[in-house]
Amino acid sequence: MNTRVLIAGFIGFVVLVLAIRLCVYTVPADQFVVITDFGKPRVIHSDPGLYYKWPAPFSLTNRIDKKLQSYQTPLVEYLTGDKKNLLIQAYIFWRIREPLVFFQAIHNIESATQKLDDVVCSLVASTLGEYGMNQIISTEEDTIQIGSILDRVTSSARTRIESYGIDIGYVGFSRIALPDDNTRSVYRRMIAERSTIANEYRAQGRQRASEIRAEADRERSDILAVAYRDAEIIRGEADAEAAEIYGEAYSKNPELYRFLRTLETEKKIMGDQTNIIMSMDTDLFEPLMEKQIK
Amino acid sequence: MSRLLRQQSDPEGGSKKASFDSQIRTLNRILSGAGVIAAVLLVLLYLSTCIGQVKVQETGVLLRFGRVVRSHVDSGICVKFPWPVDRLVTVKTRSVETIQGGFGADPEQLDEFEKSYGPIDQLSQGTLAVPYIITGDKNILHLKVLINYRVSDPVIYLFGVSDPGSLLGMLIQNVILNCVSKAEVDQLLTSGKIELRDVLNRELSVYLKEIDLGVEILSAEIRNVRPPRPTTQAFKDVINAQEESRESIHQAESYAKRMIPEASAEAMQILSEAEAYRNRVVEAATGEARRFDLIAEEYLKYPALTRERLRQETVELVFSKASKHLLGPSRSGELPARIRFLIDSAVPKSTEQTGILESLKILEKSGIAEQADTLELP
Repeated sequence: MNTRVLIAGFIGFVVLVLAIRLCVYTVPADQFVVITDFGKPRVIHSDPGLYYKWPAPFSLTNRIDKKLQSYQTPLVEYLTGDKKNLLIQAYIFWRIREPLVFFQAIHNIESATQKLDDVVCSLVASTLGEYGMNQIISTEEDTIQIGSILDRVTSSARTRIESYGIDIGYVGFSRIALPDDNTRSVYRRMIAERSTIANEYRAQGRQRASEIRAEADRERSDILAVAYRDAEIIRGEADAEAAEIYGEAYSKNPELYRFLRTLETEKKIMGDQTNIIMSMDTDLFEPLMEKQIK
Repeated sequence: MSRLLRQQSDPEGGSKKASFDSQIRTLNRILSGAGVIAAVLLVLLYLSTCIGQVKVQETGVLLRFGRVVRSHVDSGICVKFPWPVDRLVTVKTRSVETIQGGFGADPEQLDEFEKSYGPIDQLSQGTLAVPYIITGDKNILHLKVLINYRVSDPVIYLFGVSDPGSLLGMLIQNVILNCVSKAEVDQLLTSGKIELRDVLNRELSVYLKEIDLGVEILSAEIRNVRPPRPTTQAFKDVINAQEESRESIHQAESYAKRMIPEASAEAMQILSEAEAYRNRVVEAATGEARRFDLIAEEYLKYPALTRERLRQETVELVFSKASKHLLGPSRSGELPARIRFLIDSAVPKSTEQTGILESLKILEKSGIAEQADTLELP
């Protein structure tokens, strides 16, 4: 008795839960839900929460992603306005704006990305044709037009993709490259540039070094010149001072000075090589010769 | 528990006691017991969905039938309605996540890459799939950056964006592209790295303000900036050239540094020689002057005598050294012709005195010294 009630109650509970489960559905925060009655869209939920519907065969839930999506195109070769090849990879941030339109027109994310790829690649190609290489890659910031290229691509893509219920948030470039042939020639140019720069550095170094040496030599010469000048002045002063001292002393008795100086000179100029020829008839020999002469 | 078991099994066992033996009864009892335990466990399991845990590094978001009811649940235990009413989703918000961006592969990766070309994958940006970046002056570079970020808005991160990491990666590539396609290669390889890092940081934050991914950028760092492999040698040569240039300048500077003190030392020597000369000359002058003074003093006492003495001393000295040719007076009082010629031509007629000084005068006149002019005969 008791058991039967229990079992019946349990079965009843399960059936109830299943019934509720079939008639109730949740709308999560990151999804739109489109309810279709026999294929005909009836309600579109964008607010998350718990909702009721007829069970499965009558009403169906179709879940559509609400999140911001990203798509990256493959690396595609484009031609710029000045006939140069450029490989560009673009990316697109997009999300589903009109779930019903999207649901009817595209149905799933894969075909949406295919659509985006077609639209964006063709727009990039047509837009790039109006810009030169220098407006994409340049050292002068003012000439770079990537911003306006992207703006144009974004706005055109937005209008063209609008009818699919998709909103484009942002289009950007994630990679810009050159075709293989160009890459090789860029490598060659880079190597040439580097060797020019290296030679320049070496030449500059040598030049600077010789400048420094020349400067040092000049400074040395200057220092020595100044020293020579000062030394000569000192010598001159010394000579002058000496002359003054001599002059002062000798002027007291010039006659004596001349006498002494003469004697001094004689001492100096007469050496052992000197021949003196002289008469015996002099004062010097007077004491010796006196007798004979008389 | 046992009472409960008996209650459940008794009515069943009571009605069919006669036809079932004790073994079946026991089995029955065990089965129903297991059923009860299972039921209790199920209930407990179900009730356990009332409790959610948010770990230390995480933040939780509480959803009720898909609707966000609490966007920020701190770490700890969280009590909620059981499944399927409430659902707790957690995301790491306190730990710093790192994403790698950039262009070109590391050399070691390049080796592998050369062996087999793998499929292009969004997440391999900065490793293999993206070969290089073009600088503003149309050079090719490889560079790699690391971006540290953190989830700042769990709701947007979880429910607003599909695969936020991949979106962030694309934005990073875009920002790097923006910076590099207007920069110069030399700048990027040297001082520009820091600038690039700052610009990256700033621009990425600007992008994220516009396109909310629920993350915030903490820092950006440039892992490396390298020239591509075919040009590596050329770039190294530039660095070598810089080094060489620096070295030759350095050598020249050391030459200059050596040269100037040497010159100063030499100058010092010249000057001190001059000083020495000055001292020598002045001292000599002072000494000689003093000597003269002393002699003069004595001289004044006995002028004639002193004079005579000095003269005799000099004669002694001079004559002791020189070789002498003496000429005696001839009978006629004439000198031999050759000598006479010498004397006649050299000595003025008026000279009366003959003597040693006279003879000296002859010698001096014949070209030895001019000082002879100043000789004054006593």
